[in-house]
Amino acid sequence: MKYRNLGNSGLRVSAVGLGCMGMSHAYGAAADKREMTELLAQAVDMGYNFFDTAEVYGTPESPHDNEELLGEALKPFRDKVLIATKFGLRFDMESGTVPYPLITDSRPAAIRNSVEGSLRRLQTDHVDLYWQHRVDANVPVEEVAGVMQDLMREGKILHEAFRKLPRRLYARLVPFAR
Amino acid sequence: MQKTMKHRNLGRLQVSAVGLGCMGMSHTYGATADKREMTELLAQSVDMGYDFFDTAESYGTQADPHDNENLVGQALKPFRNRVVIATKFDPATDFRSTMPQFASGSFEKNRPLFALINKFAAEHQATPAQVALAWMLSKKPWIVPIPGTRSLSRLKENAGAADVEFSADEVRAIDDALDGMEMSDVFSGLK
Repeated sequence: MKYRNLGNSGLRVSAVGLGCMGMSHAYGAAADKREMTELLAQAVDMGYNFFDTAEVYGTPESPHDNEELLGEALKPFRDKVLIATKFGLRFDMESGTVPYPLITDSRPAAIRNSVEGSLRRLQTDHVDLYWQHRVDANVPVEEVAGVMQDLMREGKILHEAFRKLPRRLYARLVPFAR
Repeated sequence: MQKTMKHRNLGRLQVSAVGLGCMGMSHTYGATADKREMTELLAQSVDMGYDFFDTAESYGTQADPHDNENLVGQALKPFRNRVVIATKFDPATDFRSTMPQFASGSFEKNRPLFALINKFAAEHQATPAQVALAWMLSKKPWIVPIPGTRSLSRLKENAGAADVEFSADEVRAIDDALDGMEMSDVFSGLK
């Protein structure tokens, strides 16, 4: 496995990471947990050290299935791997339509709630890379970045990222970049 | 006297008028039928003129969730270029069914793209997926793709993409070809 530096983060990651969403979500029925636990161990063995999940990757029966899977499966290797997870999206289970529509929510209180849940499910004291899953039109990016800074100061997350951020918003995040 | 199997058109495919639904060989109908028996049966069906076989990703058992595809794949391997295999995923919970790149017509539209990828794959003795990942890796030294998979063989294959290296000329050639190419829309893609 080759390694490279991820963006400007200083994180040294396997050149190819592992997106774990499909193990629990979006691609039909969730895969067998034992199989996936085994697969994750094999991935570590092969040199993969970058694993991506999200709070929202789950099923109606197990809404955070993916983080729980990773928490359990990567526990023996926690100090050898980097875990990225995401906040800011949830399913509207009250909508009555299936598939459930997605709701964005990057309010500071919601982010704080999410990170606590993610840390607990991932069985770790820190998230290596914390992404905003989707831009929330109701919350300015500066406010989100502010919460990220706080979480970094508290040691709960090490790095932040924004997914699918429109270009015009990047400029506003420059003051927050280390 | 046994007549030869008739054929009919299924969309653009030409298939035996009667196909073989393989689900029951692994799934739903009680204990899994003996694999050797079913492999034999599948060979006999090809002999009889059946050339259309239906399975699905989800046809399986506790022991092997993809038992049916494994059975069909193994049994039909000797006849692969003579038969049509249909498989399916569950659209109700599988979001790929809503993705534009998997819509009917997209496959045709993307043929030039596949040809391009296959060309580089052959030249580098790599798989198409590895070519796609290697191209991404070549764009910037700090880019890290995170392809998802649930299979050990794909896990190995994806890791191998990091060993496929394109020269600057090759990357330029790929980019030029892509710029001039018609492609289908993709889920979450830029327009």
